[in-house]
Amino acid sequence: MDQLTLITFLPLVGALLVLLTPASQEKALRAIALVTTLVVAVLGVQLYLAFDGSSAALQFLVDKAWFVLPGSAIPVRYKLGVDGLSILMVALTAVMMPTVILSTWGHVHKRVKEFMLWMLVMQTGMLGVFVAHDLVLFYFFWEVSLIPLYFIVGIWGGERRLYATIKFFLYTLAGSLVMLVAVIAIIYQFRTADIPTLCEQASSLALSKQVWLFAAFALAFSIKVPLLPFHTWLADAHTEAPTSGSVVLAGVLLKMGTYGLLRFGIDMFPGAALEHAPLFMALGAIGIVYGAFLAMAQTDVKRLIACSSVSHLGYVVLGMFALTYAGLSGSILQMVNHGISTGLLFLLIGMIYERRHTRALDQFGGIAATMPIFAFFLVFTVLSSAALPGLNGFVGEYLILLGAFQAKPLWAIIAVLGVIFGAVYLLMATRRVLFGPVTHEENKHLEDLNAREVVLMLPLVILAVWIGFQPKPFLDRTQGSLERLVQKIEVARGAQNASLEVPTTEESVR
Amino acid sequence: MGGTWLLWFIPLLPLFGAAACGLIHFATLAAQKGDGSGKRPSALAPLVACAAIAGSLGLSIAAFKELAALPADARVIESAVWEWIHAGSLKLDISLVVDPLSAVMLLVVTGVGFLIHVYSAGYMKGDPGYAKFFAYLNLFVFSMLMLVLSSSLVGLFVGWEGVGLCSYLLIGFWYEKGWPAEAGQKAFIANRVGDASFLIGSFILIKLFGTLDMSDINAAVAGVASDPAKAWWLTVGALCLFGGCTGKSAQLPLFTWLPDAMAGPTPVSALIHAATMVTAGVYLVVRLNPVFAADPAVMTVIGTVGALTALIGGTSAIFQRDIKKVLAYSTVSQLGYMFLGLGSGAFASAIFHLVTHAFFKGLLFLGAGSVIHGMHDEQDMHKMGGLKHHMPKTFATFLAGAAALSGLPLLSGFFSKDEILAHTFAHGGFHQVLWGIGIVTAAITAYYTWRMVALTFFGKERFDHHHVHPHESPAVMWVPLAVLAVLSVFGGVLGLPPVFHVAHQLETWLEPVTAPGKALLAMHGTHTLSHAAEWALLGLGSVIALVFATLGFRAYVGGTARDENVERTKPALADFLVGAWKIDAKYYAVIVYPAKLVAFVTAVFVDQFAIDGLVNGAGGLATATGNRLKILVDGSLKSYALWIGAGAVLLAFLWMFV
Repeated sequence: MDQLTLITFLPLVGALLVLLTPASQEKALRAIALVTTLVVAVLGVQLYLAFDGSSAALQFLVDKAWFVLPGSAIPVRYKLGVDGLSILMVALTAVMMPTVILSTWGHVHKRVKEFMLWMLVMQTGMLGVFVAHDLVLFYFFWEVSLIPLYFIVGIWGGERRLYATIKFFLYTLAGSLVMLVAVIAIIYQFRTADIPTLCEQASSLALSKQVWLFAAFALAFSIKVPLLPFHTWLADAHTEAPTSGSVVLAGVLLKMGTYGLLRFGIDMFPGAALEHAPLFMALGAIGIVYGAFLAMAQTDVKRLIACSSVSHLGYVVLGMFALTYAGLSGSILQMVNHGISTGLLFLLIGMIYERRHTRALDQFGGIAATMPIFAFFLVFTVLSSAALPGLNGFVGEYLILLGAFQAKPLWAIIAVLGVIFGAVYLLMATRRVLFGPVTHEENKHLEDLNAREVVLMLPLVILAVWIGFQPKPFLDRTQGSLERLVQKIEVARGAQNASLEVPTTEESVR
Repeated sequence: MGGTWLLWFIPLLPLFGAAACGLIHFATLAAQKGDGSGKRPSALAPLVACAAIAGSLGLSIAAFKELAALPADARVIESAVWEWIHAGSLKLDISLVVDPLSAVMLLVVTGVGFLIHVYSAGYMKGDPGYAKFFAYLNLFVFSMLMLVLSSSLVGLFVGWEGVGLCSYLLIGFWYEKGWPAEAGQKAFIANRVGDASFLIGSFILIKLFGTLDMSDINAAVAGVASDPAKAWWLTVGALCLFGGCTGKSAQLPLFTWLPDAMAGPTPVSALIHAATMVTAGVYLVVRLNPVFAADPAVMTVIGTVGALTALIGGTSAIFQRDIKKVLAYSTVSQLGYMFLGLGSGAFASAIFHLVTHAFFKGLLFLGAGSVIHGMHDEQDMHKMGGLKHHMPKTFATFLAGAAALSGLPLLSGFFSKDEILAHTFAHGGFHQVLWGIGIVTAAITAYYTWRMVALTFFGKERFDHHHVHPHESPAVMWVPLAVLAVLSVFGGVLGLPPVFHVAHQLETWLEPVTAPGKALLAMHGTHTLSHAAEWALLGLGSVIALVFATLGFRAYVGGTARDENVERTKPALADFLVGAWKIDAKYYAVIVYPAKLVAFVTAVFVDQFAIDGLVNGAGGLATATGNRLKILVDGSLKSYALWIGAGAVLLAFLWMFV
């Protein structure tokens, strides 16, 4: 069997095994899920290592006939492949899941069988989204990845899980509908569902029609990211989701939105993307500051981190729509970085929640004295999230801000404010949780992190340091594809300038 | 060492030391938990930490010797390159460079750093976080060495943020007390404001030069500055970088974090907040001197900010009661002097003052630490007095530091401060106004320094003899004091003024680094002083220092009556000065509280009511749909798929046929 099919469907095989195991065998169920995700992680790392970053071509390509759309002659193919835009996402999805599964030991105690089932199904869906290169197949995986979370929040979530689930459902539904419309429209327009072909041909479409398709895809993915002003479902979903659900949501699911913007917004419609780049840059930059202000006002730690996600994803969108090499590469790396640091933050908050059964900031204080190991990891993660040079966050953020500055200095300058406000809310929360005197009796005798909790965070911690010190191999993986993409954007820019007739100086383009 | 990885060991040794001390810390915690004893941490951590710094110091001396053996115009040793961030044509690599400037910084950082590490072994003994303290201290030295050795601005920024992190961790070292953690947070955020400016500055340099390699930038400045379209950007970029300096080096408008930073253990104040980190901004300006020198207006801005900061810092020190606060404001003020010198193009003089200041201010802080240690954590000078009998060694060394700080003739601080003032005066024009501010500040400096000496060591003993038994500190603490005292007294030989008819060691040594900036400045005219004028300035400096030192000493040698008198007769003035011109209070009123309000309004009104309400369909609809959709939430996959399918097909038909 080929590598991509194996890695994508292995979690589904694990899910089948889970299905066949009696619900009472909780240990076995957990073991199956953990082993499955560990094997997938190894395969993911292998794939990452074998991937040739200098090439723009789809690698590990699988292309088989699947079926023909009824009532037309349009073939739908089983086409999987990885390029520089997706390799890091695939690797991240593979590497994060064992951590997620291991974290459930602490907080999933009911209906373990179903939980593991949904988690594994979701992994197949997420991997599928990143490797699918047929639009129908992509849409299929997209839906497969969404449904499990809806159950995970709805069944294993917190007190307001019903509200959060409905909200999440409505937004998702709206996004999926809009996307489906666009999918069907573009397939019938070009009589093909092959994504690489569509990416080549879509720009030939009249700009008026192109803009509508771009808008539909962009809207669908912006809801998923979420980009301002579609972000309000995220805070509720995150706050109510169980820890593992929050980690997957922040770590991978949101990246499907940013990945979608990259693949179906920019790669497919470079002309329309160029036209609307100022809007997206503005929304990204404002989102950075807006999310930071939201985070500053929160009293619930988990909600605070959810709001910080809005801010961090603002960076990703800002860098992407800068449409410069630096911005794009920083944006892709930042997708990984956000998964690592926000994933870690959710894990840590989950660990303290399991001990104290509260997430209210004023219930903590002085924890550093009682839980020094926890304190070490929290401070480390906060620094990674605050983009301290030497850790992962800085590399992505620097490239994004630089890319944005090269495109539109104004938005870069507004976004740089996020560097300040980001430190404000992160350090304020850290201080209120860790420092000061211990004011609550319950906090005096907290158990520090155990071995399992430390081990499950280690892969992400190591990655954070590794990317911080040696980002080059990670950035190199995206090189071929980004060179291709940047060139495509330049062609579109040239066409746009030519159509303007009035020659523009280099200064005004910058 | 050139071209090899050997140079990397200068910063890496302390990094390894930090990791080792961190492990020792957690091992100690585990051991304490294991046997339930309150076992105190062993002496292993300080040994490891001091050894690491000693190793760095040794390598630095070796590098310095190798450098000095080279001909003056070829004095550069470059390490192997660490390929860091590559994005398209942009390559941000880091290599380490020892040139005359970084060699001086290397010796200061590892030399003074080593002394302070040794001192800390005594000062922090018995603290539950003993090993952790040395982990942070070593991590700091690693970051500081990266800062001064990096060839590229982005590598410098790695160190720049790293020292900021260590400063944050060490200010908040006694976090259980609460306020040190708040002070650490304030320091980090104030620095972040500067860093944001720094980042924009770096983007502008990339835009102009296509690289962040600082020697490449320095070489290309003259070309860029001659292009009017680019010169404007260069000016903005230089100002943005200087904005970064105001954060790190505690200058107006961002200096307010430094006095609060005194919440950290005193060796931290000596190392980070006096001798090394806070001088990073001065180093940066000298490192990129052509970038700043390209536009005389930028130089004037730097000089003005420096002069005003010197004045505000100096005046704020006059009535402080906390001995560390006096030294903190004094540091703000002395850093202002360095920028005042930079503003007049006196790059070597600023570095000279940086070096002597590292000696005497490091000494004064450590001396204050020795006093605090001997007084059982008392920092209020009004509760001290007469300590010279109890702590003779601390007293003697403190005197040397105070004499140097106040610029008494022939001590190190006298020469370096005089040199800055002489250059400022010679620069002429508006800079002579700045010189006037500098002279006034020199008088104030002498006054508050000797007030501090008198209140602490002379007069009646104002402490409670039943509870406080002042004692001299152990050798591990006073020996570093003695070494620094010698350096503070004789450090002036590094840069004797021209009237002494000997070569200015430091200026000659730094010439290859400062030449490009000086050449750019020379395009706008050169300035020299006659020997007579120079004698006059030296004389004026001596007289002012002696007179005001005497005034300060005599006013307080009898006790605290003068302070009480001022508080009674001029309460507003005392309040204004002790509160550092109320600048910090204004920041809270104008920035901090409004920002909190905006955050609250954003989260509650804008986000929850406006956006969430709007997007949900004005709230009511959401609830209504919610009720109707309960069937879905109960978990039927089929109906979910049905909804999506039905809706999509409908819309698709509309798309295609309408």
